[in-house]
Amino acid sequence: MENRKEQSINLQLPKSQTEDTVMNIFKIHLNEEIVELGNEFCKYYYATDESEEDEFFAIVFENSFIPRIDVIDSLAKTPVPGLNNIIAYSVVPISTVKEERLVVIVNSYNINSTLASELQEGMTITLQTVEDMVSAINNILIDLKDKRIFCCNINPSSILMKDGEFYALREFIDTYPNFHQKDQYLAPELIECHKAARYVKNPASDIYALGVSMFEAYTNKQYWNDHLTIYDYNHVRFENSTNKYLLSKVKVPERFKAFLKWTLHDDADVRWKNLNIKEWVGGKNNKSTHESFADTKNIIGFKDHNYSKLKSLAYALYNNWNDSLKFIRDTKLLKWASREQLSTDSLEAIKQIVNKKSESSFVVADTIGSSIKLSKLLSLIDYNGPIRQEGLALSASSIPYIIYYLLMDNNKATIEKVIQIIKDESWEFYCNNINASGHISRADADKFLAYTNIFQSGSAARGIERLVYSLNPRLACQSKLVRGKYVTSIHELLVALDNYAEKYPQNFTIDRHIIAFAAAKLDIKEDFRATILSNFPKFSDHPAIRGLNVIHLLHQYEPNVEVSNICKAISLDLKQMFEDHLHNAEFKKLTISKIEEISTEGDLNQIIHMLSDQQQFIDDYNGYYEACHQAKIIENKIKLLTNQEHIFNNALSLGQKTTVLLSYVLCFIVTVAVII
Amino acid sequence: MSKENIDKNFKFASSLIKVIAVVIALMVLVISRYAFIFFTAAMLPTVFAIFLDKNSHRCLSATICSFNLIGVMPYLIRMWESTSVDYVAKQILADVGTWMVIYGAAFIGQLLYASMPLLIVKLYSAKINLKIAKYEKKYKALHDEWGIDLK
Repeated sequence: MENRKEQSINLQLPKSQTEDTVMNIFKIHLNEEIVELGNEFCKYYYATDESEEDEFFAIVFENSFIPRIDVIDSLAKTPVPGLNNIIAYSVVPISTVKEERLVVIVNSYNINSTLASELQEGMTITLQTVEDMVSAINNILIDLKDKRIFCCNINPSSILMKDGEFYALREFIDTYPNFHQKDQYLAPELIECHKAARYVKNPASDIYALGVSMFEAYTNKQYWNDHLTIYDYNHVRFENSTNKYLLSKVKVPERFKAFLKWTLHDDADVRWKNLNIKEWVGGKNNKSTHESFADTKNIIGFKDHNYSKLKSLAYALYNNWNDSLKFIRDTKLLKWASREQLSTDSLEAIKQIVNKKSESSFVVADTIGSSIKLSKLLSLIDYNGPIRQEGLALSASSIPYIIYYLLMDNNKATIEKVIQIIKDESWEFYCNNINASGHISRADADKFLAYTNIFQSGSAARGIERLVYSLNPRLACQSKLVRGKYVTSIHELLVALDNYAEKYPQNFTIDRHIIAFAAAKLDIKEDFRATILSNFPKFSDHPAIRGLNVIHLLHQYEPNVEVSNICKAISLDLKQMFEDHLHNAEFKKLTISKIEEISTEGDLNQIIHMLSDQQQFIDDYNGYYEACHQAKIIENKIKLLTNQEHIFNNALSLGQKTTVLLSYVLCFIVTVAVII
Repeated sequence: MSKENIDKNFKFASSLIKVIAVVIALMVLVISRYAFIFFTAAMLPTVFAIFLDKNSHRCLSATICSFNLIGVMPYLIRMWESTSVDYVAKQILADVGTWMVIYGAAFIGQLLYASMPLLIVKLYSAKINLKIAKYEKKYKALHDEWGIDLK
């Protein structure tokens, strides 16, 4: 319990009590929104400090967004030179929406002075400026790598310029990793990924994005726009290799060519690391060997196209999943693969996949089996790629983000796929490739697996919401009951619920999000056991008792939080429940009056104590059923007695018999009298 | 005793009086022809009643037979106690008053059969209503105490 409490305290965010003000210093000007910078997860506003001399940007996040608190906190405490500074952050009551929101204050900058805007204006960037930019951004990436921060959304729009020189790299905490990154800046190992599933814990994708951005900066050409669709561009760049394709388009100095050749390498293993770039900036690694398009001509046909690169084939196979299921049964794939530079183990694995006959005669099972084989095959021919299934590709590290994103999108079918990916430990295909987007550390893998093993669809404490809260410990509670409050701990949850209960005592019903949030914070591995009136499913399954159970548990964990309003709200529900379900009029009246008495005192323990004696409820239950039995008997009797025809016939029969008997008696008397 | 047994016994009881009447008729036949003619004519209401009785327990015929016998019995005893049964039988047969008494008795039986059961029905219904009121009171008490509403 202590350990859990520590974890919870660690999650505590600074909170500002003053409306629209961060840390009592930075005033957010909510009437001055910077629409150009905002996105679906946050809005930007101008902000000023106390002196009102310095101007800042305030990023006001939506409460449904999962902020990278660790990243924000780390960058706020130790700024990275060259990266736009995070000055402060806190949870702030926002007056316009009447909600608490996480707000991050960053240095202001000229939003119209980015590399993208300068290129749009047709400004020429010299090679020296490019080199300075590479040096500065590489240093930022090195500093961020030291802090284990990756995915900086590098592109010309995020590179801030001043007087034609590099000024700073924009903050990248305003969205999920690579969520808003355009395809052309996405490294090949991330290209198939769902937009909310592009998080990788290595700098390879940032280096690729840096390479594309610098190519664009120097040439001011967007060759990807020459293609009808981005899919066509991706096909061409992977078929030729990005570096060869782009370098074939324009002549660049030899030294810059070397930089582009190695930063735009499609293979993340071969792509330059930060150290290589540093050396390049220092004057080393200047030479690039000549490579033509015709270097490799090992071709395989698939769907009216020829493919000569593993990545381009993998990209095509993923995007044409159903056709691929048939294609992988073809032995020409194996022959083609054997001519590629693949390891013996990989070739052997491909051979097994291609040769292996289906073990099931059922069409559906066969399709599922083929899909698994295709996933495995893709991991072999595109060994640095993401985890792929039909219609879904994701990087292993982004599983927490994607599963939450899908929940918000109410996409249950895809959520099930993600859960299956975790259960199948699909990242195992990439366990030896640390640069693969499908790769994940053993610790993270074990954590995901442990959370998924307790998952049980339908359960509130172990359902999908619980999985989301467990995977995303920074996610604020999304319950409608605490809407407007930024709740990240049990303490905050109880306070928020008590506030809600004060305002809306009639609508106080604990929902799945509250239960899931509490279960995740308290690391509960089983469903909430009904401890109150557990012998009565009719009561223990009632929302009022379920709510009482949860609140009781939370209050045991945070006994110092005042919950008098919750008590009153629950008492209202309990009164209604007993009104509806208790039978004995006297007992009902007594119980309800007791609850009314307790609710005025607002003591949760007294309610629990009152309900702890189950015998009185057993007596009520038994008494009721005995009374019902008696009532049924009486009712039947009354029914019988009120049947007029039956009664008349009985009475008439009795009358007739009586008449006969009377006549016999008279006959006997007369006979005796006459004889005597 | 079950209702079926009671019914069976009552059927036997209601038949008994008719059997007695037949036995008397046979005895009278042995004693005097005129007496037998008298008895047969006197018991005509019973004969008719037997044919007309649709009651499952044959109550109508049993009642009329009893009252028929009540009317006939004094005359039979008179014949039995006389020295000449034939003579007395002829006298009785010829007396209009005899037939008025005998058929009158049968008619009284018929009247009794028509009115007595109805009277019993009235009394029985009154008793039932009292019973219903008692049960309803009990039911209401259960309802008030336990909130039962089965109707």
